[in-house]
Amino acid sequence: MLRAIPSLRMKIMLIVLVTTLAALLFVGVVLVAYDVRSHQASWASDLSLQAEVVGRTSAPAIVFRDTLTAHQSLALLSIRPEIRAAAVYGQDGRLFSTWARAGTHAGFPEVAGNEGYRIDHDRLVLFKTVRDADERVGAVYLLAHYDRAGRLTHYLPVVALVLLASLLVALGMSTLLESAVTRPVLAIADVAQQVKTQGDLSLRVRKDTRDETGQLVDAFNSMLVEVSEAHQSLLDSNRRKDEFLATLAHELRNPLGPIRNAAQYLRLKSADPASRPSLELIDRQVQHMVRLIEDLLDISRINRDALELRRSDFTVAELVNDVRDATQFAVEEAAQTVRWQVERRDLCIHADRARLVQVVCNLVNNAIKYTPRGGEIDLAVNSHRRDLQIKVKDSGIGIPRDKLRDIFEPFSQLDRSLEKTRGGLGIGLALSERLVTLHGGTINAVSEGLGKGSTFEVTLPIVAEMPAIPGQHDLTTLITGESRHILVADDNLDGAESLALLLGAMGHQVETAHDGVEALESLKARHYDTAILDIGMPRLNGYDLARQIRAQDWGRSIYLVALTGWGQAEDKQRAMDAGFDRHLTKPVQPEQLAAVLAET
Amino acid sequence: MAALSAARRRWSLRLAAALLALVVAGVVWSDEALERSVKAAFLYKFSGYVEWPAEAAPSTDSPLVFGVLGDEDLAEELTRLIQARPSVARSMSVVRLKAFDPLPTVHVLFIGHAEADRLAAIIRSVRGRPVLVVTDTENALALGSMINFDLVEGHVRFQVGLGAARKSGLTLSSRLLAVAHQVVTRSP
Repeated sequence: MLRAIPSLRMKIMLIVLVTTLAALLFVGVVLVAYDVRSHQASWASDLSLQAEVVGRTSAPAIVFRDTLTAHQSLALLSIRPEIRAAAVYGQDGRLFSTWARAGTHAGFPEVAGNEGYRIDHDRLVLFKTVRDADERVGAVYLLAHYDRAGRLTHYLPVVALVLLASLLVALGMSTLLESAVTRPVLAIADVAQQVKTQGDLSLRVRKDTRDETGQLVDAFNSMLVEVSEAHQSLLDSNRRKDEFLATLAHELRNPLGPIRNAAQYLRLKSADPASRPSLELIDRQVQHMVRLIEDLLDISRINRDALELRRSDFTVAELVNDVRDATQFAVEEAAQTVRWQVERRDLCIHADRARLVQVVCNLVNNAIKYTPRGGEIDLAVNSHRRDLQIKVKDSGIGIPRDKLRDIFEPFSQLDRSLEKTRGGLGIGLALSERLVTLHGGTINAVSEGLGKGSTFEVTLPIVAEMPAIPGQHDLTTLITGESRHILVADDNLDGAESLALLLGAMGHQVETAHDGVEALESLKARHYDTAILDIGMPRLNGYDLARQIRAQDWGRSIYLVALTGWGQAEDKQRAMDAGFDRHLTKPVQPEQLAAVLAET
Repeated sequence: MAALSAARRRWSLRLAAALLALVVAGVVWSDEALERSVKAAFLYKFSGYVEWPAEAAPSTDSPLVFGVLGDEDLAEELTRLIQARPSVARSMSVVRLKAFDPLPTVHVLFIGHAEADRLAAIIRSVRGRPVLVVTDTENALALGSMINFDLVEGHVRFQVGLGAARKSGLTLSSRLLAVAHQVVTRSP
């Protein structure tokens, strides 16, 4: 019963009341029982004395056989209302004289009984021996009505009153005293509630007792301290992890640009047909590596809420082409077939193109990875009002029903032993989910179970009304007839050289500088159409270099392109503020480079 | 329980029947004998309600002496009554007297109806001495008797001459007076 009561205060009050009531009832019952017994005994002994007095008074009457006097003596008993009848017995034990109260029809024993009394229900019968000069001369008989109910009705209200008063006093006392117990507990409950709702781990309970509740307060507070420290260190280590991830990705990515540029150069220049496959392989693997690192970087950006979408307008056809290009090799390698089913190729969509391609590629790559060789993958693109729906269906190993939610958690892999053979960081789906969410869309996985294949559905509210822009250059179209005089400044020698090689291969005249000051000297010395400047250079950084160039007469017309590892909007803005015309993020795609150069 | 109470009731009935038989027998036996035995018992009991002056009071050395004059049967009855109580027998004795014998030391003097003619003279002979004079003659109180038996509605009662008793230095208990049929305070 007590468990059902929601308030500690009520519980304590109830306990006090019940205990007090039980104790008082027990005492009350004992008191009443004792009173009934003792009152009866004292009453009987009182009557016995009365009988003795009457006996002594009537002794001469018995001795001298004076029934009248004996009757008169007995009649004196009428002053005791509870005495109903009385009689005197002679020396021979026979009835001598009687008296009965008016209205009482009492029969008298013919012969005197033994001395003593007997209570029968509400009747008391008493015999008392009468002595005269130490000689037994007769006996007195009394019949009295014992009013037990009257005594109880007289006594019970008193007990009830005392009981009620005691209960009230107990209630008052417990009200005064219970707060000593409940206050610390309620304080703990209050703080616990606040911690729960506000998540403020710096709250503490004030301790003002030294009993068990005080210990509880201490324990609770130290628990809060531990939790908040653990929470803080968790936040710290998470932040450090993110920072490490970001730094790691940056450091890993830096060498990839030069490698890729070199490979591109060799591909464009190499006359040896036998080396072409190797160069393509290098290119593809570097691309793959770049993608992995980009994924890592993206995850860390998302964790730091630092990822921003760069939306633009493009068509479904472009999306499909991008995805096909990016996945073609893997598909072929796995000897799989991708069946495209695109509803409207000319549909214009407004989204971050690279991210959207990334999402779909992730899904396709996943499908490739988990589908046996020679399998089939269905890719459908449909639209409904503003929603673009992309469905990737495979006939692969499927997903257990209970794992359907988990697969979108970062670093989660369905079967680690299986995963080992297939590679991957386990971030593809997580990243896809975040990117889709950033676009305001949803992604979900459907699978009938292991071995039944799986379907991923992405729905994005990105359908735009605007018509599509024409498509892009092919790599071979990058070589334009127009030749430019370009300065590439980068403190990373390989970076500068590989970019110079690539630009050279495109038909431009390129020179390099390896810090800001050197670049400024070169620009002063000769005329350049275009300068591609790294931002993080020693002696003079890219921003200051750009300002100084713009400050010169000869520098106003130069086409300035910033080259940074940081692609945030604010970085871009800073570059624009410093005087750059364009901004490129490492590693630079040849297509981007060509596009940027074509804009002048 | 029922059996027991039934047995008790049967027993009570038998006892009552026996007592009734006794009473009836007594009446038939003799009213006179019954009256005599009652008087003897009264006589014996009177001594308990009387205080003698200190010098004449009965003590362990000198037992209480009843003098009986003119009623041999009553003397015999009284003697038998005293003998029946061994504890009392040692402190009481009965002396049979004849009229005009020199009176020995007695505490209670009973003068039977047989001596009614000489009653006044006998009482006069003990006047002034601490002797409780008990008589069985009509109007004896006027002659100086202290307690005189009479019959009221067939029951033995007695009258008390309080004045005479006082004159002789005797004190009669008020409890005795309470049960007396008549109390005369005036002394003769």
